[in-house]
Amino acid sequence: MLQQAPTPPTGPRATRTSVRTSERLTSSRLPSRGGIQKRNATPVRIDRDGDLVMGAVGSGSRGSGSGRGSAAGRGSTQGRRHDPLGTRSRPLKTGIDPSAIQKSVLRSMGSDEPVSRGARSSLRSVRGRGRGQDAREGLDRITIRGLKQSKAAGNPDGGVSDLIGFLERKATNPDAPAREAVKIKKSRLEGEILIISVRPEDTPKILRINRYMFAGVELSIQAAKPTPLENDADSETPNTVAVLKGVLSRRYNVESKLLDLSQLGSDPELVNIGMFSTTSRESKFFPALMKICDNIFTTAKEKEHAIASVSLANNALPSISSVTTLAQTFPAIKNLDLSNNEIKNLTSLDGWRWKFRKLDHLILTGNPIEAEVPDYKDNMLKWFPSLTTLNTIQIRSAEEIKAATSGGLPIPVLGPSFRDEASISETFVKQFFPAYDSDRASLVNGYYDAQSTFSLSINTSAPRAPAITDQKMPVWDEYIKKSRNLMKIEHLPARMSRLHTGTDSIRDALTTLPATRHPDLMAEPQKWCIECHTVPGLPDVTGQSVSGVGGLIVMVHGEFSEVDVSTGQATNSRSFDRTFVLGAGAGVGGIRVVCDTLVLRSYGGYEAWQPEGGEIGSSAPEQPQAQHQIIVPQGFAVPGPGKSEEQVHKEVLAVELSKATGMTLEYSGMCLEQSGWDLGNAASAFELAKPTLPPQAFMS
Amino acid sequence: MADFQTIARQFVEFYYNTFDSDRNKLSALYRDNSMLTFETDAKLGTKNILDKLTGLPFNSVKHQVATLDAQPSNESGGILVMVTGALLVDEEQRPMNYTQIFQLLPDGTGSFFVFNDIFKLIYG
Repeated sequence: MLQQAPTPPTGPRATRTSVRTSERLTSSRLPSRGGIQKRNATPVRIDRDGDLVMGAVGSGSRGSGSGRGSAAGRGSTQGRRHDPLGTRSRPLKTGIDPSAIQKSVLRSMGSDEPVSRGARSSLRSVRGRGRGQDAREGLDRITIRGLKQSKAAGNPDGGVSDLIGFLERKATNPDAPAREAVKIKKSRLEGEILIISVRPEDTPKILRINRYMFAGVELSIQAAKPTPLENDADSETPNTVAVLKGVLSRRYNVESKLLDLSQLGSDPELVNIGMFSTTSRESKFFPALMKICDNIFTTAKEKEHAIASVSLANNALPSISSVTTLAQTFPAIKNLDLSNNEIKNLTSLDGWRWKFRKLDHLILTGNPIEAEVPDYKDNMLKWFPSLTTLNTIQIRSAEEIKAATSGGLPIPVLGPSFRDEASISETFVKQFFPAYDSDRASLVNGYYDAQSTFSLSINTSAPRAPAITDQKMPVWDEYIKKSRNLMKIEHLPARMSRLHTGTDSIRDALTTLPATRHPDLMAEPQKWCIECHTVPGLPDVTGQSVSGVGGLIVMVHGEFSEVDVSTGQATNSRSFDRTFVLGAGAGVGGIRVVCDTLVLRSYGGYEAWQPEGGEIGSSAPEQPQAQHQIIVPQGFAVPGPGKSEEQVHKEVLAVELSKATGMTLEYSGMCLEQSGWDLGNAASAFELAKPTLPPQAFMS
Repeated sequence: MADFQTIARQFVEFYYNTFDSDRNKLSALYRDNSMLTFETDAKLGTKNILDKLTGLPFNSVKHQVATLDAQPSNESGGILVMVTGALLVDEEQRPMNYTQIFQLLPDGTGSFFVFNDIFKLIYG
């Protein structure tokens, strides 16, 4: 669409566009050799507004290139070409506004400047003052030489912000009112030269400080010659977009899902528009290309489906820094060809470390790294967890991959361990969270008593789920004042006041927390991870047992949404980890909450506790069918007079084993004895011995 | 006796420093009725626990504690400690996040031992 009927640029510059087109295109030069990294002697040339500027100031390189037809003429040529990417029909179908693409490309092209990040941010603020218009509003350009030799060159941004501050200070008449202070409207580095734009009335003030000393060097300050082309440089961008889209569609094979970006340096169309004629254009090229891809494939799924392989072979890349945006745009590719580039060492690849989590095959043949870092394969294995094949040779098996991608890595992730007693904690959890969402005051009355304790802490450093990148940074304002993270709260009164003891205090604490909605435990069990263990020695509220009573420790990991009470809409999602100690008491179901510790953190998803093998169904919190109903004699597995805690523990284990195997407690005890009281070993021993066990070993 | 919060804090610092430097020395913290649940694998007694901990498949490990909370858990001075944090294993760049719950019980001589130790990787 775009090529055939370019959107006319809007605004004042539109009037001059058509006249300039051919003239502008003559500025392109054929690079002497391929390679999108090819460095050119032409100084860096970037308009601070992100505009593409073809002719470099004072470079004198314009003139003898191959002239091209008008944008419309080229469009018709391309229109006849097969277009597997569907770029021309796409904008209409998906409703992409060509001008929006243009804007985003402009933005993207301005964002990869060959200056350090520090300089960029400081420059951006400068540019903010006169953004958009100053190039057309007749600002004067002034060149400043000497920064590179100054001591400030070692500063984080190369000294640019220091120099700008210096110039503004020195040029401003200290007695003049503030509104007359000299402001540098725009600035950019071109090689070693800083080019600034100022209001014409400030020009003499800046020129006056020529030969001033700055950080040990004498500055050379001169007015730059205006260039006739740069004011309407914007107008070529739609054209560039069209060419880039053409390049994409030619280089995309829909059958093999391959995006072939090899040998870009000798792509005639790219060369013709002078894509590699200056360093700055080169550096903008790839991010722009990725931006266009982002506009064509709007969702991660679409991208993954459309493009599985990318080739960047034969591009003379010394590092991946100029193409690093590939990892943002196509994070899920499976095959990546970097062969026949100039990659020498691991540092040159570091930007992609831990990116491309699904990368299966990487090709690095024909790069110096093969000789210079002979064991680079080990690093590739670590950096790309799904990698099975390097340079067409299989280097690891699927099983090894599985181990490497299982999140937990060296420690296998197992299913939850749920050792309930008489479904107490199962019932508790099923009732607690719905009640927590609907009516916390009643909940507190039902489960907590005067000795119960509750506290909350906020883990602000926990990572968010990788897939949830668009979620805004979580805000903890409503929680943080209650957070009792003992790593942070040192003051004893603060520690004590944030530990809520007794029904009233807990009710106050819980009811002032934001309203929540937890996922339904039955409908979405995969979002929950619940574990339960028995604990002896809890205080007996009835006072009957001096040594305390048996209880349960219940650990719940899950998530909830905050709910806007007025609208009923879910807002922030958060993850939580909550540990309860439950004891016998007068509460609902004969239990009481002894302890309740709640940790909140950014939403982290629920993939982490899916056991390896991904059997979500079997890891559901309730597994009654897997448990044998056993009759536990009175007093067994709970502390009693004259009974050591060790004995209690052993009895608890015996109950567990009986539940799992259906053996009698006696046989379970024998089995455990032989297995060193290790439940896992005992269960394995049982499986082995099962066929030989007598019928009386099992409960009827 | 120091308050349970201070004990919890000191315990956690000691535990992870010891864990990260020499796991064998953790034996002092467990008793024969202590129980470790590491992921789903339950171990009873100092020896089994130490075998489990020292047998974990990594050489160097670094715990970074993000939150720590503690409550008194029973009348005889037990303390429930809940920790969330991140675990950096060997040369792994990506931290593994975990929760760990300790129940500390007084050993009768003025110090505490770990009665329950429940470790779970939770996210990331």
